[in-house]
Amino acid sequence: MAAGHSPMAQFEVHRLIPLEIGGVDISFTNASLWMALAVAAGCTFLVASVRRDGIIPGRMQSVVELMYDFIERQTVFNVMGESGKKFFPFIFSLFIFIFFTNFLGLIPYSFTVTSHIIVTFAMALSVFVLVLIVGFWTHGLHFFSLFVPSGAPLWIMPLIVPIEIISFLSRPISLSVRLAANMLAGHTMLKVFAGFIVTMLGAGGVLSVLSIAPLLAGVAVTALEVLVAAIQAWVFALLTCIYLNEAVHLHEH
Amino acid sequence: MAGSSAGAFQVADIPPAEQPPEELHTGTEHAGEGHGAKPGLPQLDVTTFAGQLFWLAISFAVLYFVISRIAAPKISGVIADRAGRIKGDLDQAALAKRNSDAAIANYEKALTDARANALKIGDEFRKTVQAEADAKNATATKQLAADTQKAETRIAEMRNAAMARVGDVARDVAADIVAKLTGEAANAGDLDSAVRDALKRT
Repeated sequence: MAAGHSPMAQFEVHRLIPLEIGGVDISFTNASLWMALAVAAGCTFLVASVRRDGIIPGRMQSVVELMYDFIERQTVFNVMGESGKKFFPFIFSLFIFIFFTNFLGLIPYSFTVTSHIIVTFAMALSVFVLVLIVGFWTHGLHFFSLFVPSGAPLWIMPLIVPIEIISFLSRPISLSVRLAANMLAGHTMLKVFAGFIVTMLGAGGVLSVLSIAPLLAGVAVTALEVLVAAIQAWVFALLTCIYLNEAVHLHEH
Repeated sequence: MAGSSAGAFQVADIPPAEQPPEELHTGTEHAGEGHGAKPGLPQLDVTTFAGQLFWLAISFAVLYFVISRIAAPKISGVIADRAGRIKGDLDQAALAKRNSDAAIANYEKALTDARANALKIGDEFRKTVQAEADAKNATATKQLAADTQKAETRIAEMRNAAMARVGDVARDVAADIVAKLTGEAANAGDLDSAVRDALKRT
């Protein structure tokens, strides 16, 4: 089977403009291209479709406002209260970036930026570092009380505290793996079904007729992936809110 | 803060990509070219990490800048404007409602006053008319009583006069009857006593 037909070929990174600084390869690749396209699409969507005097919104503006309200009011403020105001641009940026890279990745022959663990891990780690900064900035060393659940009996502490610490440290991993694995699995599945269609059609006879089955499965999986693309972007934003809220309020909630 | 946080991780000690120069093609038409030539998951090809992180930092920084400086203020401004407009309209409607309520209250009050006034005027008029009627009635009653009195007096006088003459008439008639029956004049003294007795019996 040629490399181009492998379900994994879609995740390969190709250089478009070779670039190297200080011996580090930072070439502009197809991954970089689709990041840039996602940012361009996101910025266009958010800025161009909104008219400043649009008291009565148009269709696109309604979608933008709906999305904005969904992240601002129903996610950030809902989880963090008023303290979420200063984190909103960051969380909204995360959401828009993931949302658009996920959706652009659904276009055939495109590249899914968020299927690469290094990208999602970098975002998750930036969230993690932000949580640490906010936590220590707000509470100083008292931030460590995050690992000591209030109300738990003392004798159970030696067990609970290490668990809390491990779960805290594993957050960037779970956050990044959740997104990347979802994208990787979904797109691989799509490609596998698509490959089945081609192979069965090529085989001829009854198999050609039966190729309708993987086609229907492919349509169903595509619908599922549209859902997953949106949901995963929101889940990432929501978990970021929850982590930041803990850093700001510790165990108050 | 996001851009800088994300950018901080590209200083990782990833070894520089060691690719033979002839592999640095720019085309994508040849499958398996570039970074992805190695077998296994393309995601685990560490030679792509530095580039991905670099471009992620740049693109995310651009997105963050656009959202925090342009998009978010614009969208929240539009939403706030709309909320303000709606609130203003609602306030105006509430004011109009208050005004109309006040007007209705005034109208109701005027109506009540007018009704009360009308009742009062009607009442007064009725009283005046009643008083006049009573006065006229009293005068008429008095007049009537006076007339009745006068008439009764006259009737009594006439009756007394008539009664006074009844004795004489009865006496003359009795004298005539006696004269006709007996052929001789009756005794005057007997006639008088007989008439007196008869009058006494009635």
